[in-house]
Amino acid sequence: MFSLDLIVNGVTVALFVIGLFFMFSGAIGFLRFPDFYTRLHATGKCDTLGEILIIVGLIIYDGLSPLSAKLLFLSFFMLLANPAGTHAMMRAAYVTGVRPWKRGEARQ
Amino acid sequence: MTRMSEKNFSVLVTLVVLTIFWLLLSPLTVDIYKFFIGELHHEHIPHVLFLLGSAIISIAIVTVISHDLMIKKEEQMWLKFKRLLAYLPWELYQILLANLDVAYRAIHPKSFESGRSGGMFGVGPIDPEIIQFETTLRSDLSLVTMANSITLTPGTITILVDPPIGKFWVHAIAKAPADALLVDQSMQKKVAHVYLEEG
Repeated sequence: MFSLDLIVNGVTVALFVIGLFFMFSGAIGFLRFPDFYTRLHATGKCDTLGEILIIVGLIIYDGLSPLSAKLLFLSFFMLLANPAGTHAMMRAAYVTGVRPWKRGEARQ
Repeated sequence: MTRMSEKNFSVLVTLVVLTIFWLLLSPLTVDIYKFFIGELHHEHIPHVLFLLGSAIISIAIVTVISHDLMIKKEEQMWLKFKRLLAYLPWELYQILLANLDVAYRAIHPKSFESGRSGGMFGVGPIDPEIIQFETTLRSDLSLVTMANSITLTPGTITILVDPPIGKFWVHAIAKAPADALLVDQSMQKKVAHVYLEEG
């Protein structure tokens, strides 16, 4: 029979792998996308879910404990801070006049 | 609760939030629990009392300094809070979609410079544009919720916001996510529903 430990470890590893997949695709997008704005799309979005999935995996691994509560807070703040940081960089680039890439142009 | 003044309300909320936060983060919470049920070893009692006292003093100081930065009392706050909780699951689902969307565009085999010729999925995966649109939202909270939601949902990031007319400048990575904001407008309607600001 499957023991509880095995199930907990399995779920944790599965969440880690899915999270790592999103982080990895974010890194690929960061390298492949053609300009500043589209690269921010890759890092700003994939990192949010990737990190949160990894944290949820850690919460499941640790069970109900003070550490889990702290990790839950961490994921909540990430959900607030990540879009704010992405927006701040986007705004700074737009205000200082970084030109967005259009289809058919060379990479920047 | 109904007769409570605005200042008392924000002081109370700040006190409760800070106390819960301290209890969650402090390693002493277990010791304090033991102290109240009388199982704490008597040698540790002065130490725990000292730290508990300093916690109360620091919470009081922070409350006096910063209670006016916390949530202000608003019209129909309880209703807005309930609607915000109902909005969150949809938002989490959108975050998942956004990540699948970006991951798909990032690992798509077609190169981005080669223009518009075919490829496995017809049109290539990215076609960035900057769009503008006006909404019926006016309050700080609803504009922040909207701007954060735009950044978290598939293919769009907020660039600028103009609060007096509720106008947003948004960078969209392709035409489909831009149309979701310009034509479909389901997100504007949901956020306006949450904050009771439907035009």
